[in-house]
Amino acid sequence: MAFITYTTKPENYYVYDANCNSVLRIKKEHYEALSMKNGKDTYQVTVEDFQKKGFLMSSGIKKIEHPAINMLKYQLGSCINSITFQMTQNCNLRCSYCPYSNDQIYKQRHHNTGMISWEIIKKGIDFLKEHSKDAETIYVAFYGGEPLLNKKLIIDAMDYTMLNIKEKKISFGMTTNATLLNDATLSELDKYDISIMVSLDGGRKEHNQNRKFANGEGSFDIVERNVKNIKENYPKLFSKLKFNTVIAPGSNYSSIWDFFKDENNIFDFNKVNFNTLSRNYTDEDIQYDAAFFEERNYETLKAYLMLLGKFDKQNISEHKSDIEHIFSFKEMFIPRKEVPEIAHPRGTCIPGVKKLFVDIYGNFYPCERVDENSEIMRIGNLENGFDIERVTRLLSIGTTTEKICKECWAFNCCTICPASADDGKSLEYSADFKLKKCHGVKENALENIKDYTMLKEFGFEFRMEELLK
Amino acid sequence: MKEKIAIFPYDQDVSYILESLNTSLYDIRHVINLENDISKLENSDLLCSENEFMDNNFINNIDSIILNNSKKFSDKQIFIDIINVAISKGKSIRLLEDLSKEYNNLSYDLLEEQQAVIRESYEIGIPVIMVSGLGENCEKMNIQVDLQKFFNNKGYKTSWIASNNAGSIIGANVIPGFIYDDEFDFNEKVYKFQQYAKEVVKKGEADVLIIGIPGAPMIFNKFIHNNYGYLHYLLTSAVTPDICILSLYAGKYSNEYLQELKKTYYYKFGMRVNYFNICKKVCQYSPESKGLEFYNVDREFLLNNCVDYSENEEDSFVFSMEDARGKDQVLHSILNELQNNIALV
Repeated sequence: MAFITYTTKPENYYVYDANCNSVLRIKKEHYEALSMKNGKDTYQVTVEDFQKKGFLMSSGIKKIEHPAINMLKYQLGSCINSITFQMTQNCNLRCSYCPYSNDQIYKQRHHNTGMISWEIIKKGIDFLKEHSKDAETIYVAFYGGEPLLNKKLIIDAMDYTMLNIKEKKISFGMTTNATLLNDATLSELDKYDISIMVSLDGGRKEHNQNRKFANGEGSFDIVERNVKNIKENYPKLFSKLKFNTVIAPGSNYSSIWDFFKDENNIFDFNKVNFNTLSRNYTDEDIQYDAAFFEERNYETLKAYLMLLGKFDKQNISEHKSDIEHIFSFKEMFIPRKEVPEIAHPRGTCIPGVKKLFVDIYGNFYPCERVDENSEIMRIGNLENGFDIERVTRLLSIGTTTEKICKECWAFNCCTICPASADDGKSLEYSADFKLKKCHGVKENALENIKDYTMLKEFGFEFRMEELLK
Repeated sequence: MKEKIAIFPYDQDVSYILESLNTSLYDIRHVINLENDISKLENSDLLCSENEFMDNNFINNIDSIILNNSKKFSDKQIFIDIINVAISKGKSIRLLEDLSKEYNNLSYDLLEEQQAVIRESYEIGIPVIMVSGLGENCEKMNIQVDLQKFFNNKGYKTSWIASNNAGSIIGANVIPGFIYDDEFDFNEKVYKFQQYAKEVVKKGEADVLIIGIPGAPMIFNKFIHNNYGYLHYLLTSAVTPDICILSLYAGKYSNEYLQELKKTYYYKFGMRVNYFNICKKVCQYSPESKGLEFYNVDREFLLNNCVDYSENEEDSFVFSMEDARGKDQVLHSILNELQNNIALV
């Protein structure tokens, strides 16, 4: 049966009905009955009572199929609006948690001297142009390893794009460790509409703990120097500068947070994305200690109190990610009469359309976070275009565990994406491997539903325009 | 004397109108495409690439450049070169929207002839065919153009109020500006539109009036409001059509869904949907941009997956303008129905 019961405050009882995608407030006796506290018979009678009113119906899903499957070839034919090039498989840093630095956490390819060629770049941009007829904007991004090791081709790629793709707004992006952002490079990049994402893990101590050169020296000082230079001399680039912060296990989260919030530093807190280590493609049990969760949850609590008007909204931008998260979760709650007969768990983007990652050989992947060695993830190449069968297979991840997914209460809030269900070794998805991720996904989903419910209990109406006043 | 114009840049919406060229105020000399390779574009003697236009000094052949400021062309930089050339040669530069303003002025002129807004409902007096769509970009213009061509070929005079300003290139009237004017309340707009439609018919000595309704009939979701179907409600309050064609985005629609649509149109707008066109455009909502995205399927997919004539019921006929046979059947069916109408005196 596709529902789950829960409580928030004492005496507030709820059931989330996946079929009609709604949260229902219920009486204590119903909560106890539906939670099987009073035996099977009471449970059955209660369910039937709700069903007479149109709720808690048995799942009407007959088939798991992604809605984009039928028209996939057309979307892949004309809706591609971005391409990310792997400029090189090399890097001048050896960050301890990098999938390519060593085999400690992740077992993927290693850094090597491989570089993308101009031929691949040109073919990639031509491919993008041919397949973006229905896209309104174009985004070309550069990734690595460290993409600036192949700087000349980045500039050439941007020039070629501007020359050959007209009538659409074009923007560029790059993810870099910022150690090579010297004046010569910056003055070249300044001519373009490019957004630079700098990997920065906090203050000197936290950053240097993991982000080191091959000789073991930390990279913080040079990053700070280069960012300072951008701020002072390249205001256009600085206005689009963003930061990506990886919080590795054992990091002092509050000191990282305080570092970015310090008004005296040059790093704009509002432009920082905080991420924990990915749990994909690793057999390691990546654990964060209780202190991390305490600190993290404390910040989330502050965000919610701000939403409820209990705190001054002055520093609301510090809590941007928590606020965006709960707003985006709330958008999932679109009540409906019944679930369609053909449906697919949420969580899967359309590979290639949402993002197209091209490696140095011209192979296609759905994003830069997948294991390049994984056969499942290779969805085509520049010579032959998209392999529609492979894209379809990625998109049909729900069919791997169809019977279970159909009855799952978290169907509408599932966050399992193809990468998280890929063990990196098999040629097909494994149902067992995928199901191992379910528990964590459901836990998160329930926490989100509870947070959403709690905010509604306190009268929050989720109106973004009110928040921005 | 007709104004000699070039349109820049070419896009799919302009292409369909070019096929039905029937210039009245304008002599269209060139339609300029952004890309150099025009070989894959639909055949038209008017088409040239931007380079060709510049290299051959085609600017000397025209009086004005009309800039196609459709949303598709979000990068305004593309207009710079053409604008500079036009200025250097003393040519006038206008937006496609501006063409419609001439008709708006005309509509105001027509109405100024009236001493006051007469608050009595007008009957149009001739058959009215309305073309509606589930939203923008569902090829309503194609249907309107083909309706006009068809009836003209059958010897009937048509007047046409187009849903898209681009129709003004080929002599269509456009939705008059007062519809969007805050000066008038809803009632006044309804009356004025009735008068406008009546005058359009009178001027054109029309036997049939075609009206395209811009926009969408209802909200798409919580973020895409579509003005809550305001224009649909306003125009259908002003004029009740005899025939309505509703254009839907590409997809397979159950009879149950179509019946729901018919009911919605009947109870919300007071009109019966007679025909459903399935267009080539797919429309989908993007949660990231909180906007709509569009792309095309091809004719084969459309006819094999979306349109099944065997499933048509008597009161809801599904067809596609991409299918000549189906289109022909619908056009003749409309003609037949209107010809067999009994006129009420």
